[in-house]
Amino acid sequence: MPLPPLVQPAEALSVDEIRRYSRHLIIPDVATAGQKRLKNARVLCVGAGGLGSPAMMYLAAAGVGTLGIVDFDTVDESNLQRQVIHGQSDVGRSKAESAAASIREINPLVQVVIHNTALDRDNVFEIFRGYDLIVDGTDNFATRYLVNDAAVLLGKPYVWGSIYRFDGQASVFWAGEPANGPCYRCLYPEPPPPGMVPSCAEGGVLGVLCASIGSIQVTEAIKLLTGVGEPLVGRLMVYDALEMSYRTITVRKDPQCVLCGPNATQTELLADYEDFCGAVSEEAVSATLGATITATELKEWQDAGKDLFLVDVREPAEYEIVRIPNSVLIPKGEVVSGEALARLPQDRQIVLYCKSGVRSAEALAAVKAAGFRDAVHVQGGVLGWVRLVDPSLPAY
Amino acid sequence: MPTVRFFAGARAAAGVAEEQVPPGLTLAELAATLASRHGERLGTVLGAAAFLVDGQAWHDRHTPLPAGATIDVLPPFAGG
Repeated sequence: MPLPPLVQPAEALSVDEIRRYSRHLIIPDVATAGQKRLKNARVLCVGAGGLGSPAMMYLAAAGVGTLGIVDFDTVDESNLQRQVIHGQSDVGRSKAESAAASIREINPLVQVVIHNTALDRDNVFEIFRGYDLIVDGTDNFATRYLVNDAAVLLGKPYVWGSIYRFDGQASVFWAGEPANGPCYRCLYPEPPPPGMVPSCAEGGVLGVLCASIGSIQVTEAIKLLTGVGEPLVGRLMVYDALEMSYRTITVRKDPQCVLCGPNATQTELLADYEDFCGAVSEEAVSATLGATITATELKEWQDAGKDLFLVDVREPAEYEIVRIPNSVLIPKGEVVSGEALARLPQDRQIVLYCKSGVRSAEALAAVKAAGFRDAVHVQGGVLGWVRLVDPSLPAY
Repeated sequence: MPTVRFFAGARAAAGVAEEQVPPGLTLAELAATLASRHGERLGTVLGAAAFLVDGQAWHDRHTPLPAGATIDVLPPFAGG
């Protein structure tokens, strides 16, 4: 179903703008009227990371008049493999500032608004209200549900995209009028159980996948702003880079959706999205109480010759990148399923670690439940070890 | 017969893009059938996946799925 343009046209294009946007102006479906709508458009990108990078660069080049950036993070070297809006000299700089500088270089006619803050339930409405359209490029479930809920409650459309390894998904969620489409909760009513779905930081992502999905998001944004074509409302685009296939599947509005269904029960934002998505399960939290050591303490134990059985619960590829000396690899899945428990010695101090301390907490719960009551895990994981004990090792 | 289509991590764990399943299964039975056909790795993925039946979220685990339905299995991921 074609939808009316989201934005009214600006009054006029300047001579500079006509020169710059001439390849748009000669497309009949965009033309001067469409370009004037882009000029008047206000688009917010949530996250200046993998998806946000190509999204903002192309939205800026396309002549979107106002681009907002929400990001609280700073540029890390491990971002540069895919977050192409940032460069080597930006390492350590605020992502929002770095992205803003790139946008100004791509197109100085764009008004950039920097929101150098974490999006949360207290600021999301105020920030969203200033924009016609939102592009969701966040990297965690808690923020994705927050973005969805705020957009639905405000009746605003947003372009959603998500990536992992070689897989990508994208859609336009617009539950309000006139689209009356499904929302994220119609597709994924509840977040997955904590620890079940790895993040890109844990599982990796092919850098160029960001461009594949980010460019779909920009395409949909431009279509919505200018009112051309068939928007990706009620459809999910599923991209498989290994197969090199794009499949579009239908997603209908869920009549039982708690947020946008006819009998919706959720009429405001949740009190705590981190809690809703359970960053770490309750079992893991209670397992770690009194059973958490720092990387420095681990080093002291090793230096004192304590009889340790140090288990790395990450995946083999991560173990190849960097590891704590004298550790053995037993991926978390094998610990939690119970198949690796027989490999754990009864008479030695068991110490678990992962990348940052989340997976090892989950594994610790399983190990303690199996009777290894003295087992501990390392706070901050191998990243903590790199930071506190051996900065010559690579962080990832 | 209902057709199951696997996406992303479910596609990788199942080893096929789609297949047919016996009619009359409930969602709980379907998940058990698929896990026994393709292994525990798929079983784990199914534990977190969304099931769309003819494009609509399917919440009821204990009512038989419609004959001839297309069931899309979509594992969630949140990377950006």
